Amino acid sequence: MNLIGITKQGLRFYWKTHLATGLAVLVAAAVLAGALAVGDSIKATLTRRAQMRLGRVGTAVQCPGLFRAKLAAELEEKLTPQQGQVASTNALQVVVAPVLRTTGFTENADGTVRVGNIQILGIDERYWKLGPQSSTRQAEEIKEGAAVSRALAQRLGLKAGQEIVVRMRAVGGTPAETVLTPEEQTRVSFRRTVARVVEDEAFGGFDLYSRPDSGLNVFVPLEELSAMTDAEGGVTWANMLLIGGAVNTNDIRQTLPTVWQLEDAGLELRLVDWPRVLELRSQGVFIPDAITQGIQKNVGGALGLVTYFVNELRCGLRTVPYSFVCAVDDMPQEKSPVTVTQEEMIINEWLADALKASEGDKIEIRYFVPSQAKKLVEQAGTFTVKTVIPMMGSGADSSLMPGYKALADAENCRDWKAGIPIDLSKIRPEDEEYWEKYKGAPKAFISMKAARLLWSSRFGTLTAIRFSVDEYDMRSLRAKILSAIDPWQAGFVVFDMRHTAHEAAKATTDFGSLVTGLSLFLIAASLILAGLVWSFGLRRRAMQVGMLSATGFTKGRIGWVFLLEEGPVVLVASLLGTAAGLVYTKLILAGLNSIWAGAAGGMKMLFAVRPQTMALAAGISIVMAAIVWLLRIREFTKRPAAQLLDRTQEILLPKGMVGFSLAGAVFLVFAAAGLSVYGTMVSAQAAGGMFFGAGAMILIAMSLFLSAGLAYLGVQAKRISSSRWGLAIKSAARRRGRSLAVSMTLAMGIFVVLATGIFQRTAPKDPAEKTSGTGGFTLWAQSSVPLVNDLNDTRFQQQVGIVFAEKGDFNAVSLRVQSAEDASCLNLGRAQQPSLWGVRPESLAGRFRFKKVLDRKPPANSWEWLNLDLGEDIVPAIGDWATVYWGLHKDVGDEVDYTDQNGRVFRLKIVAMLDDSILQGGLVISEKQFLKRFENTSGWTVFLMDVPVSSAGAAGKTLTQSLGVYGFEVQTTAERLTMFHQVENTYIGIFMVLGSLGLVIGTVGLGLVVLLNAMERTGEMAMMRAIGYKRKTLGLMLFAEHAGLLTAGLVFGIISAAVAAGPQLEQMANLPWKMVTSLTAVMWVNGLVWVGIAASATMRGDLLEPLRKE
Amino acid sequence: MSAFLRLEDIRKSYAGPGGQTEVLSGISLDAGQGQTIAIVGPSGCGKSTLLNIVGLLDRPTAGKVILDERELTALSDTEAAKVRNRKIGFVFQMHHLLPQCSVLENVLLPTLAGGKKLPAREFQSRAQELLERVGLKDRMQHRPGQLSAGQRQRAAIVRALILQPVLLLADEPTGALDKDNAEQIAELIVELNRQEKMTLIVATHSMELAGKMEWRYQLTQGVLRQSEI
Ligand SMILES: Nc1ncnc2c1ncn2[C@@H]1O[C@H](COP(=O)(O)OP(=O)(O)O)[C@@H](O)[C@H]1O
Ligand SMILES: [Mg+2]
Repeated sequence: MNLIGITKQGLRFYWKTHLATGLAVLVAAAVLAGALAVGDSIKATLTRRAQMRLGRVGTAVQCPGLFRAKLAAELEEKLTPQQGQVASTNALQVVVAPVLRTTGFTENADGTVRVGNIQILGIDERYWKLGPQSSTRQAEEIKEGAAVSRALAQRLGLKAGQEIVVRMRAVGGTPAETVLTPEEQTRVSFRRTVARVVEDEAFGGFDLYSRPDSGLNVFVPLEELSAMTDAEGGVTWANMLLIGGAVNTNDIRQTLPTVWQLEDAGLELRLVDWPRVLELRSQGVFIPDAITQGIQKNVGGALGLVTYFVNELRCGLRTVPYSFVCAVDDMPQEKSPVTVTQEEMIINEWLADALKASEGDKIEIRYFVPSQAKKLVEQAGTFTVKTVIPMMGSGADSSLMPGYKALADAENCRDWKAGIPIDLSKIRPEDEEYWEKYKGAPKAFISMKAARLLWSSRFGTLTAIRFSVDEYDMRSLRAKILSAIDPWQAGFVVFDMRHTAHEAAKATTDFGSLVTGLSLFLIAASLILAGLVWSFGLRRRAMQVGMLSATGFTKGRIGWVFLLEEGPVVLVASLLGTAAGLVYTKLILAGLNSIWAGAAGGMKMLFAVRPQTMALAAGISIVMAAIVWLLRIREFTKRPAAQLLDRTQEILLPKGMVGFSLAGAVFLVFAAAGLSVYGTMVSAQAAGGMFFGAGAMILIAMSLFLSAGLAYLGVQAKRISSSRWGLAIKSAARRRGRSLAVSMTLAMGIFVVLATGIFQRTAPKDPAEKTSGTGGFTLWAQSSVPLVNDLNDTRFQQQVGIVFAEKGDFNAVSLRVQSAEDASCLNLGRAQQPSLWGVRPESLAGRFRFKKVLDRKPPANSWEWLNLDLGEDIVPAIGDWATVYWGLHKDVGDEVDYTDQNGRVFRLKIVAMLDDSILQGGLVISEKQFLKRFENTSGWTVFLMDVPVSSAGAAGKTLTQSLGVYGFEVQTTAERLTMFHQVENTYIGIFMVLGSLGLVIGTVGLGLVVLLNAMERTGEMAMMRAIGYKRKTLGLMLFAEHAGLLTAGLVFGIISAAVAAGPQLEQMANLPWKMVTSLTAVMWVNGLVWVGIAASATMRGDLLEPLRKE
Repeated sequence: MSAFLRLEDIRKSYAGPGGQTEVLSGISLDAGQGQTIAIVGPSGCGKSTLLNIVGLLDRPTAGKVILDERELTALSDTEAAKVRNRKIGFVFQMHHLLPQCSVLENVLLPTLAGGKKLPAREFQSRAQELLERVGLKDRMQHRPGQLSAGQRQRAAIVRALILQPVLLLADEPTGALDKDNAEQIAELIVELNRQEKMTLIVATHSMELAGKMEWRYQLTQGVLRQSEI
């Protein structure tokens, strides 16, 4: 005979009580373990996604222009360790894959399905070696036709063997936005048979950026895609290097410049036959300023020049159309160099004749601003003729004409394919003749200073740099230039993908904590239930505690006796519960994969749980249960044994406690009121949180009131009328804690369900309301190929055939986009560098609603924040609250590091946050700053449009059709907002479901309490029957007592929720009223049924019989 | 030499609806070793309160309990528990047997109270012997639920005596029993006292039981008076 033996017998004898507590602990443990396991699973899902997305790519090198694909092999050779140095295991082998990447959209053969924002990747066999599971099989199979990723095939509903049409943004060549680039040249399309669908495991889902719809890829052999660019033929071009193996970004930074060539910067060094000079040109026509500076600083004898196309040269009434004007510091090829001042001009004889101009005359030139895209802003400048030079030498030097292919190749002026409207009627026979004879030889020369003011753009200033053949030969010059510039000046950027992948695998919101948070109420409810059962069990055995005490057991030892018995129950229940938690996880994941897909952005969830997590969950469950149990047992062991031994002893609350509870309750009510008043004084949004807090306080206050009330009723025996109901109230007061626990669990449940339900989001009633989340825009559009034209330009509208039903009401705000990661709630992974949107702040004046702005004197138009001067490397940015706060984990005033196109790091400072807007996922900066950081970006890809709500549908249709070649996708702003809301609403939905589950536990607890109370009172009930009470009466009294607790709980919950709703009261309409009222009703009826069953069972006595027998 | 058990001016008051009410107002008593004492008085006079204080189940508001020259009222909780375990035996009106344990196990329960293990075999045989003496020899493996009221109380008495206490406190030991059973239990207690030689204090309102004790005291108005009958 020992303690263990006694314990065993106790376990066996009180198995029902143990089973009940065990179940309650099990539920708590299961919910906790499940919640944590969901966190694990989401992390695993994100990690796998990042693995699939990036394969074995450790580093990526990107370049806005094109470079030789050969660079990959050259780099690989340099990076591969010499033989013998490193064991040549496959994992360490360095692979550098050249990729030509562009974006666009695709359609199935009959044009019925279109998928936008896809990547078109020109690849060769090296690409497949970098896949998560490397294989080169794919390479052979896409020698013919194209391959598509599984994700894209799914979206297109496509099988291998079918055809697709791909339309994409052209890469390389002149930037689409420069004036003389023909618009058609900015787009390329092709039709291919899909040879294969590439699975994610084989690297079909490659994507540099973490975004919800990543990995929509079309694969084409690199050589073929390269041939589709307008870059020089005979060379295979690429614009990205993917690098895998044992190298880090530093190795690459150091090695790349050693193999890098001028061609890789889009530069070309050629020997001009006449005049004999060495000339450096750029494929993009303009030489980037960074390169120019590098050369001018380090290579002696560099002569920069710029030749620009002007629409008109005018002197008085005479004009000459469409000519080239050259700017140069020192006139080339002149024996005695002539220099001009900023206001002066040198003209050739032909022009002098045509305009009848001579020295001292004024000549006006009209030209299009170089980088205002197809907005075609014409400007003018006036110069004074300094000299006239003959039609020889510089006067007729066609080599000065820049490399605009569309112009240079033309036999005839009429064949020009410039990107601007050419008025053919203006071209006279003389002009044709000039073209035939001198091609694009500049007719006039101005100073470099003037040219810089007139024609300089973000794409560069110079069109050529010349060197004397006396000073250099081809080889030495090439070497000299190469040493003067580096890849970074040419826009090469090295990305550390391992780090990025690691970051992206972090969930935006720590889902584990979130689900745990959402489940907290359930856990609390189950623990309260466990506590109730324990209390009950211990109370039944209170006299045993007293007896043990009398025979000399110390408090500690009594605790041990009970712990030995309860410990295994808690342990087993926690462990089983943790295991059961996996089922709970599966349920939640199944929910996230189906009805709650909105919360996960449609991402398919994997089930993956780490053993540590399970151990942690089990540990926490055990500790929590142990704490609850200890609190319960302490209540008994701390009492004098004499009290425990007396069956009739009631433990009454000292009077002071009543006052204390009352004081607490009153304080809380005042605090809640204060909080609400303060809440309405600050922003509406802050008020939301404060009212929620106030509601919670009211809830606690009411529980204190109830506690005090019950205590008062319990003490003031005399005041209780002799009515039966008075007796019922008094009964409820007897086990105050128990009554409170049940009542408050129910109140909390209803509170949680109602108060969160209120926060359900709905679309604004009027999308045209400027201060709503739509910004007053009714349509949102996105194009897969950037638009370089102004959508508001009626000429352009006519050209592409946009016809609006209601004229004059259309207004579009175009946004430039630096596409990167999606930081909206649709992306589960955490974004580091979100997409950036460039916009002119004034175009958004008075639009959208601001949630929070920088703590400074605000400008009249909050969008003007974007023009704030914060210093050289800090760019003010505005983002949607959800994106900034949840997506980026930042706040107003915080900064986000960003790498621009040239690898320069700058910081985005959040200056304001929008409230619930359609601008989720990226950050908005001013167009000016945007172009400063991303000078190579051409065109606009996101459009916010004002269209009357009534004709929005028709307008959307005409836009989609007319701009089909750009992959224009139109969405109403209401739809877009709803899409974002869905995520939040899904969370709320989950919360409501879990809250309801908690309520169910609460009602079960209530039923249990009825049984406990009835059991405790068997003696007195027998007595009451003996003195003449009817069974039915006693049953009714028991029922009334507990129905009262149930009703009180529900009413308290509803009142608190109403307080929490506070300013959102108008939003009450949002509440799924039907669901809420039916839920409340169901809970009430459900509770009553439980109470009823328990009460009648008690009265029949059959249910209690086995329990009572000891 | 002072008495074996000495109560010095014990007072106990409770907080009631109308302020403090004194239940015991200065109780002093000396008892020698092996003496038998009955405390009688109407229900609610404070008998249980007094016994609980003597048995260290409750603390007096004032006054001392001295057992074998040791002041019990000054002991810490742990020391008090030890004294209860080794020196004092309790018999209550209710048996308070553990329903999940057999009679024998219930009887041996006090041997498990201390941290140190007591020689189990020795107590096992004592338990068997005592149970035999009270006529429960063939009921040892039964559960309390399978015993009659009188048998349960006898088991409870054996439990009180298992560790050979020097003081046995019995609070209405026959209060819950019918007349025959009550008589048997009364006999048993007296008999056991004769054999075991412990000091015995019985609180009862049964004159019959009180009559079997050497000393009788009446508890009225919170004070103890020697009783004639
Ligand atoms: N915990 C308590 N609180 C208040 N009064 C008590 C308490 N315990 C006992 N009393 C009072 O002390 C008096 C004596 O009780 P008790 O010792 O149980 O009487 P007896 O055992 O003689 O019937 C009673 O009047 C009772 O009201
Ligand atoms: Mg009594």
